[in-house]
Amino acid sequence: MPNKKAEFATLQALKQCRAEMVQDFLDYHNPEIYEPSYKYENSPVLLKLAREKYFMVWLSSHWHIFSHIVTQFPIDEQRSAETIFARVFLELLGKWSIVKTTDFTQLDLGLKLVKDMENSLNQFMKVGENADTMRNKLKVALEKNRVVFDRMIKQLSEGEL
Amino acid sequence: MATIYKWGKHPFEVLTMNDARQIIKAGIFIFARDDDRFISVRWTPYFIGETNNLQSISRNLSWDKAQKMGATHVHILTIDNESERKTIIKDFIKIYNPVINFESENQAKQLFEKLTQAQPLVINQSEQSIQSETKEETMSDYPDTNATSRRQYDAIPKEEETMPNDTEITGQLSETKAKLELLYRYEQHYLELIKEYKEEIKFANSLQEDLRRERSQFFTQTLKEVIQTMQTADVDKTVSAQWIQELVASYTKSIDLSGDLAKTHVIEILSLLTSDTKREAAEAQLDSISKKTDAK
Repeated sequence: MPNKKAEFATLQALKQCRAEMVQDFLDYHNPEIYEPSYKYENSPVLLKLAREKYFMVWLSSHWHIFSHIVTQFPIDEQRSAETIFARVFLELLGKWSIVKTTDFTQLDLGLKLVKDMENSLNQFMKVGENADTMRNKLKVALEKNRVVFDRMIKQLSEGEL
Repeated sequence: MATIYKWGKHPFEVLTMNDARQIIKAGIFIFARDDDRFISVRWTPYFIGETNNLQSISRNLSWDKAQKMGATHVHILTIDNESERKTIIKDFIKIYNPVINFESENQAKQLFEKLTQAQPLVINQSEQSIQSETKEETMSDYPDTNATSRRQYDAIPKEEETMPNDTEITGQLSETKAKLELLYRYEQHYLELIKEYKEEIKFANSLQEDLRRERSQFFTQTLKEVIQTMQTADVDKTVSAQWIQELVASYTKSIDLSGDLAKTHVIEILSLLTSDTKREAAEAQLDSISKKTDAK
């Protein structure tokens, strides 16, 4: 019998992330989309970096949103749901790495971060049930995206000035 | 103190209909169900609306419909400004796709299409009925000219040549009866299984339906809204096009993945049903074979 509860939570997380992305685009005060759109209007590289940052952070947010959804589950159900979600999340990341490896205009940074996330997820899935340490590593890998992009944007904009 | 649930960034009060209709204020309301079958706090919205006076919501026709679908509570956000209310619900409908709003919108569209196409449709129907009447007349007036029926008549065996004897008939009848019994048991079991998996089937169906609705909503409405928002915000056309392109790509990848997941769920349920039915059919077949052997 399929694990209905875990599948439902997974679908719910994906849906919520899509809804939040749409909401970000509909809010013209959103600093992650609209600010770089004006600021880097004439700097294609920085603009591309800002876009990649937004979508990488959006991708990373899946794990956070899913974790929030399953907080109310009993621990053993949380763990089995995590395994199902990790598989789906990995598939989602796979869709990005395919595009990125075939699109030569993409920056390497996005691809590298997707690969990092994939590696952390794979390790997480391999370790199985006693995965607390790996869970923390995964969290860090997902959260570092924003920082890495900000650092790169800062470096490039200082270089332009 | 009422529970608060956040829809997007807005904190809504979660109330029963009895409590909600005591509020003499303007605001937004959501008819929703606490879907605690799966997750302890997860609300499914059925209808999102706004009103000048929340006291009137219990008379809203959508409440009955929402209740039938499973709505248990009303979520309330009091806002005096009408245009602000309208802007929020417009966004909410886009994001959360409540079933009743979606259906009403579709019905309105269909009605509009029907009204605008009404005349040619009537002409076509009358043309069709005239054509079919003519066809029927032609066939019933000249039955003997139909070569196929004549050939079929010729093919009927002459009674004396092929008439089977009584023992043969009894044997054939009992065989047919056994086959029918088997078929009946198979169908009966199949229906029982469907009844047993009713909730699963409903769940799988609602997953697929939700995704279809979400996808169509995104491509027919939400995307237009996003483009308009970017235009209103004076974002450069090229810049805006690049953002939109990535938004569509990301959204599509995510919803495709959800679709795959829902499809896998359906396939798993179907394979469960099929294997269960096959097992039952095999058992029934064995049973009938052993009965036959016993009879012999």
